[in-house]
Amino acid sequence: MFSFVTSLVRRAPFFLAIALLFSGVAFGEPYLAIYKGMQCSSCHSQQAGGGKRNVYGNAFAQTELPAQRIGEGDLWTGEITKSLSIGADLRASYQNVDAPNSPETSEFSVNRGTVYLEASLVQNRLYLYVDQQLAPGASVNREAYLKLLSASGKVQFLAGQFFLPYGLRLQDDTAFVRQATGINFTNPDRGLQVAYQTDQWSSQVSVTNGSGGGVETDTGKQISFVTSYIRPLWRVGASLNYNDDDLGDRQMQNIFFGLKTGRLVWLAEIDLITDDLPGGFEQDATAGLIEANWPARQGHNLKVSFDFFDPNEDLGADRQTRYSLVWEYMPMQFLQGRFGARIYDGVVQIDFQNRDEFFAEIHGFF
Amino acid sequence: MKNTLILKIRTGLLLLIFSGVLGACGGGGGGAPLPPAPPPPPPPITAVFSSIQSNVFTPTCAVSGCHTGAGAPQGLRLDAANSYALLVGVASMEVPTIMRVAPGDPANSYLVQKLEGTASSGVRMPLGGGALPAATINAIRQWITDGATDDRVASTNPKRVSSLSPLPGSILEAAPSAITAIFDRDPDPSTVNLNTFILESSGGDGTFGDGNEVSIAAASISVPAANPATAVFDLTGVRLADDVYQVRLLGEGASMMLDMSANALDGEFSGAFPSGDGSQGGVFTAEFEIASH
Repeated sequence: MFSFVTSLVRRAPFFLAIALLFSGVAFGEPYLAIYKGMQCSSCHSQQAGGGKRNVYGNAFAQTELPAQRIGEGDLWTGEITKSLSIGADLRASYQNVDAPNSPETSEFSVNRGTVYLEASLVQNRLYLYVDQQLAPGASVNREAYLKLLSASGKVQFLAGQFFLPYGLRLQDDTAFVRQATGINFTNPDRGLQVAYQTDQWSSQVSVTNGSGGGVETDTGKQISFVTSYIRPLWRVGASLNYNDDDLGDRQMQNIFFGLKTGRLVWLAEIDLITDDLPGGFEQDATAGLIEANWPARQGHNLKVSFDFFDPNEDLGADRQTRYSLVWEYMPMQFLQGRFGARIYDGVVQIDFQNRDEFFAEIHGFF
Repeated sequence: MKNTLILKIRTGLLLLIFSGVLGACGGGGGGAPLPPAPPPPPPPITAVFSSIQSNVFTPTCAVSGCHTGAGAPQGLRLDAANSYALLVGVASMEVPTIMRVAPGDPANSYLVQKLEGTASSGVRMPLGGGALPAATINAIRQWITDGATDDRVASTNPKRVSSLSPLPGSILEAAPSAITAIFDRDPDPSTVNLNTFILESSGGDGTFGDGNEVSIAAASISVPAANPATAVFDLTGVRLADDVYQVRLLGEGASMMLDMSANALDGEFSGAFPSGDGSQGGVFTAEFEIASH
């Protein structure tokens, strides 16, 4: 714990810079929240965003996202009964991977199929939520928690298994900022979370096992914290994470922001990661993201991003970068196509870090 | 044609993203920074754990940032220090009825199932990057068939130097940003330091042992977790004049390099890798020259 404190002190200028620059989100596709100038919870059941969409989120996805709404009739709200609502996401893709010194591969695959279930046990106060992955392979629980809201709705308590609050809640788990931090949509954890939200602030803190969703093997726990300040055209936030683990502690911190300039939406995040290694050594890593979204017309979004990852700041030859160009097209409600290219550059001798990917993905959701 | 297309995409993306912003990330700036010396490539994969660690787990699973550090998915760290203990004979978290690695039984090892995409739970690994080459998976299968032993622990052979960057005898037109030694097995990081990893210039006369050598202080000396079979003498910010330089890795004396089983470096170097005379001890000595004019 002492090392945690000293490390925080060492990085005080980092946090001071945040305070001076702005004063503190987590978002499935955060650019949408920035584009609309809204909280993630405007569209999602949980304050931190991601997962099941609420009534407004469903309406938004059927009216404002697609190029056109096909058919007549009422909007789908997700509500099966007054106290039970559901949702789902299914992503299937065709991907071509070309890495040096390896055979080029291409294949169809099911990336992920999930079903969300939310039961309102006491209206506007107590909920039971389950996010279950049904494909590919056997069923796997992603999230399962009880959610208790204060009377004002500003304070939220979670107990169970959930995705951790930290940084931009990007849909793309392979973005370096999500991959390197290990906080993404493949890596839930078990514990407690408290969230507080006002019109302009959104903050969450959680205490979890810190075992990556696996069995806890020691008494050390993981603390995750994220806070963000939200304005109509921009937002800024910071996160902290400390994982006390017998095999070696990890400390992470980041700042992130979003900005809307005309029809362009910008996202950026930079993470500093410190791992304790055997023998008393520390290793510092840095991961970063800059992303531009251009929703040129309703139903279309062009996403350009640059990812940066330096797994060891003491070593100059191990840096990795990724350039991505993705066109997201939503021809009708409930259906999205994503077509893109990702170009990786890394250590020359490691073929995997120098691959090129081309993909087409179909995403159905409600 | 495809390479041209990729080049155009890459260039286009670079132009689209603000170069000024990226410059801050890339650590660029005034002057003309030297390109970092890439670490020597690991030897081709073979069906032993140390080779699989160096060729697969470290570069693909751990350095990518996923299976490393506290909070790694399912508690599975695949860095060199932890991977074996968390893989072999350990029940899978996602499918607890089978082992991550069941010695002698690759078909019922969850690791193989995850790499081949036949696991009953979750997606194939590595995540989002295409399947590993068949030859790589076959090496892992063979290692499991052979009993999934840890050759790093079992070995009592002395540790040897497999490669060095810059190459011994090379003449460089610019100063390197680091001296990187690669070993045939992970060194004990606590024994890799300024007392055991030494760089000297000849003092301008091109010869050593005549008392006018100048010791070069490193920015840091480390065993990177990203590639724990290497030792890096970081020269960032260190000015190296044109001269002949000598690298010494000590396998004997008061301070010497050891492996994780406390075997000393077998250092004698005759000009061909690997180093050594078959028994522990000896000093690895190699020279290179910087001639920028």
